[in-house]
Amino acid sequence: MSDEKFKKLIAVLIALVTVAATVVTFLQNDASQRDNHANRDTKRYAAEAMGRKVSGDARVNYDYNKAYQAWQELDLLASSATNRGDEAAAARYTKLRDQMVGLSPLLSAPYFDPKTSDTNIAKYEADTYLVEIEALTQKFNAAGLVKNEWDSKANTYIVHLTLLAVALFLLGLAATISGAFTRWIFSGTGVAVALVAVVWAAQTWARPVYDLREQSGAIEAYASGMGLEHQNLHKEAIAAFDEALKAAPTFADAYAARARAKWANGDLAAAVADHESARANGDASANTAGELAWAYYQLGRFDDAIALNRSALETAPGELWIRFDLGLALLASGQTDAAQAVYADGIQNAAQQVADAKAAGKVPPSDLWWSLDADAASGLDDLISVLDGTNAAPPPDKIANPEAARKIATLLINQLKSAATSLEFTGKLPAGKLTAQISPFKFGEPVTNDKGETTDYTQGDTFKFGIQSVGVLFDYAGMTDGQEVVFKVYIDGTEDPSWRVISPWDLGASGSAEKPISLSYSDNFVLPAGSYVIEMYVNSLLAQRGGFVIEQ
Amino acid sequence: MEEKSSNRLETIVAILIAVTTVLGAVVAWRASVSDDASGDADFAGIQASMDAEETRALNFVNTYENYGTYTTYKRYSTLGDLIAEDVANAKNDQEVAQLDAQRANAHDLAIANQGLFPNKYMDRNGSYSVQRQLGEMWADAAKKKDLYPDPQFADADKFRQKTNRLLQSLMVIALALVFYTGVELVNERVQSALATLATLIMLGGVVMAVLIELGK
Repeated sequence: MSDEKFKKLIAVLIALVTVAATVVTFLQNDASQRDNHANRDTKRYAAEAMGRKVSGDARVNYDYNKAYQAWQELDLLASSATNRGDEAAAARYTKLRDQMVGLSPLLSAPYFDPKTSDTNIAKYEADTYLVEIEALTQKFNAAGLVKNEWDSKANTYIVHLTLLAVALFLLGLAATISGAFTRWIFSGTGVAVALVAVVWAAQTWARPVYDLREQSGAIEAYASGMGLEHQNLHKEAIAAFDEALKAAPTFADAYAARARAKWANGDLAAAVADHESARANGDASANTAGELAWAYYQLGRFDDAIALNRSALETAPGELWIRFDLGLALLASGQTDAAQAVYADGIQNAAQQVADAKAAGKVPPSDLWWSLDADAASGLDDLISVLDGTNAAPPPDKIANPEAARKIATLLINQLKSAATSLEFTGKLPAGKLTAQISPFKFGEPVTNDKGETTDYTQGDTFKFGIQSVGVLFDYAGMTDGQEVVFKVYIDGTEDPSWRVISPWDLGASGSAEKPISLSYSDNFVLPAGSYVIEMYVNSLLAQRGGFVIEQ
Repeated sequence: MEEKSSNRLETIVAILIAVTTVLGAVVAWRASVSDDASGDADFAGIQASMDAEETRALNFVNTYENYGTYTTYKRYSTLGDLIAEDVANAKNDQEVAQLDAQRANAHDLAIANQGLFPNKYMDRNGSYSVQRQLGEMWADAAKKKDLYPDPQFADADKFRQKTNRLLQSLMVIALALVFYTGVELVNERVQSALATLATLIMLGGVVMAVLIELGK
């Protein structure tokens, strides 16, 4: 080919590469704009969700803590007046109470039943703002993923443009070189680089961008399901999540939410399948992994639970509940030494969190106490109840070395509860050993004389609903006056801090004691139905615990 | 004679390539300006969105605080009125005195709360219009700042679309360059036709860009 013709061919190739570059520029700009658009959406959804949450909270706070509270107080005052025989006052309070109904939609159907004075605050919250916020949160997440995808495309197009620039340079160079072989090398390489860039750009362009917001009705159904789940309407929630997954079969959050609803509805196996689907569809959160590990534990799949908990801890090493779940699975699988090491590590981790918070002048995270007490100690309690035959999950026949598990679980419960109390009151782990001896608690209904003074107790561990007071009876020895004694009361597994009593001991070294559980100054108070557990701590060390039941 | 004609065509094509390149650069500049405008409109929209949500949140918090105080006022005011009705039915002076003291306490508490909420939102029946207060507060805030992001976002989308269309016209203009450079490769009989085609494509791209710029 003549020199002149070669140069003309190169000119055409340069023009073609220029056209390709303009096309890729257009695609890059388009991707960048979509990236900006999605970014804008994330900011907007975040702002809207925040605004709606604050305004929704403000409204519900008024409805519940002002209007409903006023109704409740007036109802109680009317009831008290009736009990005292003051009919006029009772009528007054009743009339005033009924006038409160007009102040808030929460005090009308379908949220309120004046006969039982029960309010369905969960439904009210769901209808007022929760569903909307769930939808906005999902849209935020979806827009974030779309943003990332378009951002990736836009950046890849820049690589293509760079390659095309290199191609243009090589072609331009080829036109200036006189050596036939060399210029063919340059022009050939330039054309090859341009072709790679064009094919790669075409592939990038063809790659679809998934947008959950475009899956008709998926987010709306999910949000509705979350609203129903908030009301503990598990079956209805599952149906809503089904609808969401029908519209968007890869919707990981819907799988995770349906798993929780199915679990709450008692279908653990189905919950496991949904949790696994959530993870398979991209849910890499430690929360979902931890929940799935807990489900494996409940099914007796201890090895799976151990592996998954360990994996979750790699991404979230500070999550104490996952650490303690790992310890529990190790204990149930017979790895007692490893279990004790994990619990000890968890307690040290909690102590470190408290020390760090104190050093920074902050309050320790509130979930710390939940992790130590309500979660870790309760899990061990449940394991013991499985061994006692009063609980069925995990299956008792899957627990290796039950007697060792029981012994170590009891020891660990003491350590965990003492650590939680000591960290809360002193900021440090408990020091020293328990010297006090407290006999197992006995419980009794007070028997009173004509003056209302307690003369005796009718002992038992189950009492009928309507009882106003229960006495905790115990013998003690090895006590010292001035020691800090804490009583905690748990109702259905959750501590009610309003019952907590903290006081220095003043009953001498040994003897018998009674601790009444009641609000004796009220005309109306009765102990709510439930399973009660009373714990006594001496210098932050758990000295005794025991329980009774108030029947429905 | 033919060579002279060919040289003239080459010169014209060279000039047209230069003109096309300059026009392409102008279109690229306009696309860049439009892209910048879309970013500005987006920012203004986000600002309006944040302001709107901040206003909504603060208005709700303040309004429901006021409504809470009104509820306390209403409770004690009505209680005082109800006790006053019962005073008339009291059985003896002691009960009258006792009830009257209770009534006075209730009314005093109502008065104490009366000044703590804007009573202009109470109607003649003594009920409180939360919606009216929210509406007025929103209108007040809207006088001071933009609370409507949608028009800004619509503008941003419009500018984005304009940028894309300008870049499409740039692609058309760039295509003309291919034909201009191809003029040199073909035989003389079709050179003029190819140059004309390139010019038409270039003009088409330019017209397209002008129309987009004019908003048509």
